[in-house]
Amino acid sequence: MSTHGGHGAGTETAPYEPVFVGPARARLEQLFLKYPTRQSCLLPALWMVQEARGWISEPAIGEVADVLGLTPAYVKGVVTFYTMYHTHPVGRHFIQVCTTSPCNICGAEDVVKALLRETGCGELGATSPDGRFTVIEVECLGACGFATPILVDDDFLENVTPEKVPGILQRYV
Amino acid sequence: MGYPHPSHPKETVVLSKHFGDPEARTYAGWVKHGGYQALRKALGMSREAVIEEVKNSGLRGRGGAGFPTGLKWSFMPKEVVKPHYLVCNADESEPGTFKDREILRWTPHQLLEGCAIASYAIGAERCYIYIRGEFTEPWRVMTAAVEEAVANGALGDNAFGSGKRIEVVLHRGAGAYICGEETAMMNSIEGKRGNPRIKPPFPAVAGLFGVPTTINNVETLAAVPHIINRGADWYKGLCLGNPKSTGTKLVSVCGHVQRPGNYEVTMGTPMRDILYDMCGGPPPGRTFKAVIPGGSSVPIMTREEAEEAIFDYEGVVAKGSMLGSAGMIVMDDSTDMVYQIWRLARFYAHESCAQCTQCREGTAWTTRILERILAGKGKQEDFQLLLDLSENMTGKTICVLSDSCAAPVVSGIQKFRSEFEAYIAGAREPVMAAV
Amino acid sequence: MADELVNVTIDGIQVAVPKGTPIIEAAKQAGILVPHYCYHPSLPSPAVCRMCLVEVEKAPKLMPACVTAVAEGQVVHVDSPSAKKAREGVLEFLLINHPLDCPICDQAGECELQDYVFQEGRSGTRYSEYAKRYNPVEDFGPDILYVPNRCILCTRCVRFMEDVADTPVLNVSERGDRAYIGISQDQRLDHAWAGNVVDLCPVGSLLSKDFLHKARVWDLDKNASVCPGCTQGCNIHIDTRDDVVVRLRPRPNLEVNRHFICDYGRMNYRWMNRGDRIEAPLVREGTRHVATDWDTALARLEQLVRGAAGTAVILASGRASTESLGLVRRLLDRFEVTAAVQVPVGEEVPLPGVPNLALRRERAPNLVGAELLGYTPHWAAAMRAALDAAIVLVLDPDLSEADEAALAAAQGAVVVLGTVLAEGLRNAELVLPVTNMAEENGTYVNRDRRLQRYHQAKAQPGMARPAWWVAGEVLAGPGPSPSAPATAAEAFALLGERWPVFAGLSHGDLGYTGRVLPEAVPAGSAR
Repeated sequence: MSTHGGHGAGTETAPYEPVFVGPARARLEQLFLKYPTRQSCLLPALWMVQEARGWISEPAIGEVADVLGLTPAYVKGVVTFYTMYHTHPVGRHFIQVCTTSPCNICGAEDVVKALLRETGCGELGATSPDGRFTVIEVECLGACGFATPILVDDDFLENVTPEKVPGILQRYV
Repeated sequence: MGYPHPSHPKETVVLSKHFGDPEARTYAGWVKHGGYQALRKALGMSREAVIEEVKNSGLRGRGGAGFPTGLKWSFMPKEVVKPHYLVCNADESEPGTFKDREILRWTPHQLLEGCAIASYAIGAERCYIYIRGEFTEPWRVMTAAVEEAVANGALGDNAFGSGKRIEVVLHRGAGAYICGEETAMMNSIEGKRGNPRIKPPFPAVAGLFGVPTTINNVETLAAVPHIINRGADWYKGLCLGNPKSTGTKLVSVCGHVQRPGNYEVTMGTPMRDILYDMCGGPPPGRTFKAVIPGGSSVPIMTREEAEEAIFDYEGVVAKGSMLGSAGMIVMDDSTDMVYQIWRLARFYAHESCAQCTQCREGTAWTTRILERILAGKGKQEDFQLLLDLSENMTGKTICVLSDSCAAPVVSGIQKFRSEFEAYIAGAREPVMAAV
Repeated sequence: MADELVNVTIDGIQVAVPKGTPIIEAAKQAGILVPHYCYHPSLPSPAVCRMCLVEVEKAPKLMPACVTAVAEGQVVHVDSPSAKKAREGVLEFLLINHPLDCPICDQAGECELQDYVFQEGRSGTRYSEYAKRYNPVEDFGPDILYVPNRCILCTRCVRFMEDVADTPVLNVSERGDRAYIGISQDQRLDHAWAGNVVDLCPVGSLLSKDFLHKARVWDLDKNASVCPGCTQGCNIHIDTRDDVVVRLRPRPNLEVNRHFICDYGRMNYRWMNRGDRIEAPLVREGTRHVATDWDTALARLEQLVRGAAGTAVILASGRASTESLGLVRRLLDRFEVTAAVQVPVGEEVPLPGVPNLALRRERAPNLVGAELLGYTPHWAAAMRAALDAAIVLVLDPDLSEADEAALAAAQGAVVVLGTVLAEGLRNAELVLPVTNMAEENGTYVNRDRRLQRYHQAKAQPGMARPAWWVAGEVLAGPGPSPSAPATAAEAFALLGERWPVFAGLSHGDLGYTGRVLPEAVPAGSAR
């Protein structure tokens, strides 16, 4: 099971720089126009934070709560509901492998093993020593006819086999 | 055509006609293929007439529940005193199902046109399309398509000069199967945890943001332009004898078949034709063992049941399962059914929203019992325990996620008991360490 | 009745309830408690625990009684085999991850999980081979600990903070069986009404640090009372163990405080247990006080009251009962009286989700009662008047050093009816031991003129008596007299002839939720 998050989000060491300033703030303001409540912009705002910072830290949760008029606890309850939000730092490239039944019967577990081996991550949820990769198992990616699909960052790759893994990894430095 | 394979003669290609054709993704390409005529036509009709046409077509919800679409639309208040919303469910996450993804990535305007027509019919000025977070490519395609549709006047403050405002907003999910449940989806759009809501109130009365809302699946909405263009009678005619199941249906077939992929068939097609003719049957040297016909949430069929079934809503029910989302997971004789049932239970345990007691605890407990069986630590009492838990998890919760976990367990024990027995008796090597 | 009534039959008992009533409330009318966890009458219902599933005839499946409204002619079965089996299933699911640590759990004895499992749960576990979920105890706030292992995710606490306190500092974190109640690391559960989550928690997951391991609840005596903290008059229980007050809890009164009390009120009980009490009447002999018996003390008081004339001043505690304030006032009817009630002032802290509920600025539970009896909150003026009054009656206020110094210089006789000895009042002619509100029966009138009873929760120390008893004995004259009130109810009955607003009312009329006094009583009317 994907275990990239424990209890509580991690903390950052450097002083926190707000995300929603300048163009990001303007983008958020545009989003406000598309919903009758600011609260509805929570998922999009969290996506913006993750795109900017790679993960969602406690101070980021505080900032999101602030710009949307919510409390940090509320935002955290939402963040931890959705598995795609990272509450801890991850590798430069985040790899999600589908291992639900349809892919499982088509060899997804072997793809996972190949990825863990070739990235050097060793285990699910761990980041490789060079900081390049984090690999997790995820539930159904919705491409069961193209087993095994994987998501590397925002790239959706189909029909991945253990043999293809080294070639794929080369594209992500 | 049934992407990624060439069209099979037994297919009836309507929605999937342009799958795989990059040109169809563009506004110009779509118009060239006859696109947006239906929207223009619908905008010239009365709202009631559009709903009537869809009602008459017999179109039923393609997300899994099979509720008549026109009837659903007609539940929306006639007078638009409060805002109305349309929500398009593009959170396709049901294991075995990957049809909506192809519509989104290949024919985005087909969906947008359907959304626009439906918005007009129900009096909604805004449609939210909820796209699951993992669908990165469909997201990019849909984003471009919305921009183009707005630029060409199909969407916007004055859709095709009709004076009607039709806005489409894309909303990205973030990893939660349960958000495919319509009330959970509304919560998710509102910036909440994706917890299903209690019904009543139903969405048509108090849905998204507490106002009248209709939620339709991608495939359902994609069928609408064709119905408006060619008429209800044409669509109704696309059935092989059962007037309750009309039109075409995209079938996603995955697992142990030679040609996995999407196929578009007329309702009433024999399932055998899909499995053998279109998909090419099992891999060489193998035979089928089981088919889960409607996404992972429905009871498992044996090979015999699947081969005899007629592929429509009622035909699959007659063989003890459900059509669901028509995502078929096909398993051949090499499959360890206990392992796969465990893997499905684990899926539901992972995805349970944590609200209802039976689901939160039951899905996890079921998973653990199956793990012990797979570890060679199972007991005869585990059969009764699993069945008891499944009964306690069925029909007792806000949504059907816990029922869905129970379905493969119960049907698995009924139909493949000997495989469980083998682990329990020690006749089969354990495949995992004891938990 | 304005509401349309609907007839339903629940376990064979017919009741008529207003349209829209949920089955769970209709069942209460029929005398049937549908087991439940997440439902609470003062919170929105999420219908998540699924414990209140009942069989409704003609419904395709079991229905949650908390969110299913009654319908005309509906027939409901709470005690049917299918409903019982469903409840047994929920209990089994709730128990698989629940530690069986009842022997060290503060909730044991008032735990709804323990109660319902005992009532209709399975006798053995089928989960013995698996480890239970484990998360460490968390410190949520100044008075609140969270024990996640015991949590059943009913979300009452989350909903209270979000929907009632309007301060959502709690959440449900994660999902599936990994879920737990979370809090932001930058925030604390320190809202002025946060303590209610401990009462709302149906299990021992949210605990009061103040009450932690203090007592087993089955050893407690629970006494209906009224919070002495402010003019709101929240209904409370005073829980005692061996005559020691160990906690205050809210007691439901939908008109006053629904199911809640504020933390100020909740923690405002230690003075009830003070050990340095006056336990015997004291009379002044020269420069010192000498203990005596009540007959001597009462005779001295009578002598003082009858032997003087002119002005009199009463300086009363804001926590004094209506009965004591009234009879003490009557005792001085021969004088021109200035009567003041002490009203400490603090911040007003409302509970946003409940209209007209707040910790009030005026921290005196009987301010309105005192005013109806002719007292005013003009303390400084009364202190000035006390300087040359013929008699000053001090009814257990908290005196400042300046107040004490002023009274020490008073011209007339100073009589103290008190709980603890004020060191500065060495010149008092008489010091009479009286009970505090936890040690007596009485009534308060809250800010909305609601007259409410409180009941004795612990024994009085030594020879202490309620102040109304002291005044009543003197008013009745020397020796045994049938006109001297023997109970607070009798003392209350004496108020009506002097103050018509209380006429025609008795303690027995007040029940457990009190009665609102009429604004103005026409002359000659009984009520």
